[in-house]
Amino acid sequence: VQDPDGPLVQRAQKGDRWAFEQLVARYQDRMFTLAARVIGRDSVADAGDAVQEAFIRAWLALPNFRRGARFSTWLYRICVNAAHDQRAKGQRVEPSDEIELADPQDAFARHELAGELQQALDGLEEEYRVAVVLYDVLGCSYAEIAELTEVAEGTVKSRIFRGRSRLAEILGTSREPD
Amino acid sequence: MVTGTHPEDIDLLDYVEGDLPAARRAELHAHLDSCAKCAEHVARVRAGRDVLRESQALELSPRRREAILASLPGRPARRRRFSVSPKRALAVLVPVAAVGAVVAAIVTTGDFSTTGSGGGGQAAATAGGEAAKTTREAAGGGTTPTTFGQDMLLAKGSPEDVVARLRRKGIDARVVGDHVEVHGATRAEVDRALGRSGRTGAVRIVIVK
Repeated sequence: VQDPDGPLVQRAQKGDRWAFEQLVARYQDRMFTLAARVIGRDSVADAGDAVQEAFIRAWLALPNFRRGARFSTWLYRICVNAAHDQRAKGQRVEPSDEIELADPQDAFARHELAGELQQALDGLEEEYRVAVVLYDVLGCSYAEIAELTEVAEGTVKSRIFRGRSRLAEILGTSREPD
Repeated sequence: MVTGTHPEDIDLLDYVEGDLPAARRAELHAHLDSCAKCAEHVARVRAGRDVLRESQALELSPRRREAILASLPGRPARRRRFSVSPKRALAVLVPVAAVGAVVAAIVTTGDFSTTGSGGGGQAAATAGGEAAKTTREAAGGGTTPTTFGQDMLLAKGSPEDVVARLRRKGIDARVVGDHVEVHGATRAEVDRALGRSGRTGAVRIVIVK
């Protein structure tokens, strides 16, 4: 299957900044959602830092990107690693002036990340959290998640199953079977 | 596959996702009708899926996007492998061979005057220049400036503000074009000097080692 990002990726690999900016525009919201949901807690700034770090890493590593690989999978892997690093650093205390000057997008993200869903996601082990966010929120396939988390597809399915189940348990919700 | 009397997680996920063949789906359906534990498990998995899929996508702020684009560092020129196409090889080798032939003729005839070998000399100079150019290209030597190997971070405010804040902490900083250059300090020292609130923004700080 041809990677839909292929032409832009090839140009960006040769140093074309415009092409890379188009890729940033295409993936910035998905990357931010991924980072914010994986880092959790309620730090929008940490998620923004992780996305910024991920795009810089991607830009620098792009010349080594293997042709034939799927760009989105590669980018999401960089994002998950950056989010993991950011989470390990510990939560940043956001000064009040940052909150007051926040953009509407940040205000909405802050509201979402303070909600019940994020609290429940925070209660999951990271491997489960990453799997359910990639599959159910970003719509990645089992094969893509297996590649970017470097585990077998069966393990991915098991993590999605357990992650969802645990999430619903924390939220106290369930759906009747068919 | 069934472990003991209960289906495995993977099988149940395929059931929930509708990825099973009809016959297997009917088997699991029958099992769920008679097994409250598995039925409850499947209900939770469905609920978890629905909550996740109904969640809103988050949007990156325009300010952060600008900061990302402003912070992309220069990239080192790619080292090109030394490979010469047949056409290019001929372009280089033919003049070299011509020079060789002229030199051989001079040695043979004992004619050391420059007048007779003008054409060959020109060809040699051209070939030499071409070869030197090819070598430079093969070595990856370009004029593209690079910040690779330099440390870089971001700060809020204007470049002048950032310089003033760093200098107050005794760090040698100066505005260079649209960014700030720091000399004789480590990333950690700059990070400490800026404090927590100063670590994000659109001003690029390049630490020159």
